[in-house]
Amino acid sequence: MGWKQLRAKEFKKAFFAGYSNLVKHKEEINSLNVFPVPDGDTGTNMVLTMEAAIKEAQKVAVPSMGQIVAAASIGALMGARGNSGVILSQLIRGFSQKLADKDFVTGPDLAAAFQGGVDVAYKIVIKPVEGTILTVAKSFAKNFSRYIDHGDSIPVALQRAVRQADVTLQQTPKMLPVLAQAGVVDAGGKGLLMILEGVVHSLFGLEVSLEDTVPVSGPAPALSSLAALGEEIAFTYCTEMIIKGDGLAVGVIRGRLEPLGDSLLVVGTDQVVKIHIHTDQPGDVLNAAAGFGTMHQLKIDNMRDQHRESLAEETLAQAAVAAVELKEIGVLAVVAGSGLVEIIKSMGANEVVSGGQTMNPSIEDIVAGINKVQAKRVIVLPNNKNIILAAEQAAKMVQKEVVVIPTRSFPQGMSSLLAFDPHATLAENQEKMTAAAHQVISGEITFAIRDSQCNGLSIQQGDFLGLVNGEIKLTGQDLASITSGLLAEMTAEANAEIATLFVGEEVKEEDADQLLASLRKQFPGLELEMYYGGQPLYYYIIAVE
Amino acid sequence: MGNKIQNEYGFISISKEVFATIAGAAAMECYGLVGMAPKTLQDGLVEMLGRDTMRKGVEVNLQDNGLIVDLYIIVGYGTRISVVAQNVMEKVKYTLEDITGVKVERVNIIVQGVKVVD
Repeated sequence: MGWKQLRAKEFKKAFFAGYSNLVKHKEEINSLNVFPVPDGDTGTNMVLTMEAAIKEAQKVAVPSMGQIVAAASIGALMGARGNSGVILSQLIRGFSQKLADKDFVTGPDLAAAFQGGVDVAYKIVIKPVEGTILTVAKSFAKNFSRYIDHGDSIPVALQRAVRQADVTLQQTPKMLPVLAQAGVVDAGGKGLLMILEGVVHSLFGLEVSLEDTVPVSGPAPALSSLAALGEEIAFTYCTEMIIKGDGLAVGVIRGRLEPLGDSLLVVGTDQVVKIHIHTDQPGDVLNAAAGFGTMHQLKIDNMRDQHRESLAEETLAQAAVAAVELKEIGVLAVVAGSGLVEIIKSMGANEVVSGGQTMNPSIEDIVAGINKVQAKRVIVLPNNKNIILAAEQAAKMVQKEVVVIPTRSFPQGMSSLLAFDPHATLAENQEKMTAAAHQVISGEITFAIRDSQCNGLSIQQGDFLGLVNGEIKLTGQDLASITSGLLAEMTAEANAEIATLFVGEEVKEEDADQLLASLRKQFPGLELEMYYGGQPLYYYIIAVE
Repeated sequence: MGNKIQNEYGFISISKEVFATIAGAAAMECYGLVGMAPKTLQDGLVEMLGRDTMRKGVEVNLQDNGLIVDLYIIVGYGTRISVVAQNVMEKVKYTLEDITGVKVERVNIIVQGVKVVD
């Protein structure tokens, strides 16, 4: 293969392949975290950032090189998550600036673009820390340029530069002491390398199988499938209006508008009807609607200009909400695991956003969740310390009055929800529910993703870890003894009366039953209950009151 | 006060300035942050007089249940400000707690400016 230049089509394919390869290695990258509990999310954050870039690039109707990279740059910026995501977005931004006016790119163009990415990324930090994704990017750009100067074709130069970047990655622990202590290479650097490796595979015609890249485990719903990514916008204009009149028939209006587009929504009464449709002929929609009554609050948006489809979904959700009667106060909870979702719903949560330790929902996800709750005021239970901030941000972005109770675990969320009184004011509920959250002790059993030292405990990869209120207290190789040890720790102080265990998705039913029986013998004074939680990563979540 | 650690030999007291220096140094390592902003006019004058320190743009308050740190920052143009701010919060909280052992109750970020660097 002797390519000396790349066209938009090949470039797009290569970019996509980079993303696919990153998705494939997501869990591996997540495991390179420097803390021992499995809350590493560098891989997830980079995947989401790339996903946003690709979604935006897919929207370009007539793709030219410059337009694709510009769109990807905006997408990455808007979708950036976590530190590594922000750096990645800057690499893409600098890269795209160099290619803005190109129809196709040559080796030297690419070399300049890679260097441009590195230059921009290095500018946006006071003290660049070496031994990170920045170092890997710098090494790659330098070597790529060197090989192109030697007369290598683009794919060959890429391949050789990727190999050099890998060497640099392996040296990151020598540059950054925290990495050496943890015995890992830099996660962000690894992520970048996986993207570039995917690009190389694509240019050599080694197709990266898309089936393999669809995320396998975890609360996937928040992550759009690749099929959805490939989907083009079918209609250009999002058209909305309210029709007022007498004897309006929702069914008749729907029938009249249906042939004109998709995502049609017609809701309302015989006097007021709200219409939402995606169409290529907004004029025809208006003509049709004018025949039924008077038109109000007309809104026509070009969706290809919109940054995110989620806006339309929100409008849909809001329209749907407007059509039904609203409660005074509703509750939104963030929970992962089918069993836990059911439990929290049965306890009175109106809506649930899927998410937890490794898959933090975005602010947009929480905003959408709040809008879905059919109430004027909403109480949010984040149930994870990493989600509290996002929930608080989301609270500021909605029209509704929102209070976030800073619950850090599922047991806290549950306890808080029990104190919820639909007839009390928002402020009263906030006070009572916050207080209630602290009346419960939360225990969690998970596993160590690698060797480490913590709280004076020597932890081996694969060991079970017992955490009380987020701190590692126990470690060992036997799940049952860790669980009983943790329960003993949790019930030692305070006058604990009730313990509730939520069983994770990886635990076999008979093992759980056996454990429950033996715990009942060990703790005769304690009222023990066990439910299926179905949560990922945590074998057991324990609530003690 | 939250800044005293008592043990059998006596107590360790850490001054506000120490917390502020550590917080400032940690913040400056964060990606996307391109500078710290003076909090007040007076600080601006101090800065003009050339007494630039790590503590610039950092305010530390000691409360019974931990430290409250306010950071006045300047971010690089073209970054997602909310994410950069969150990264700074996490880094400053982690670093302060790791080095001093004193709990950090809140880290507040005040974005004072955006700087175009390219």
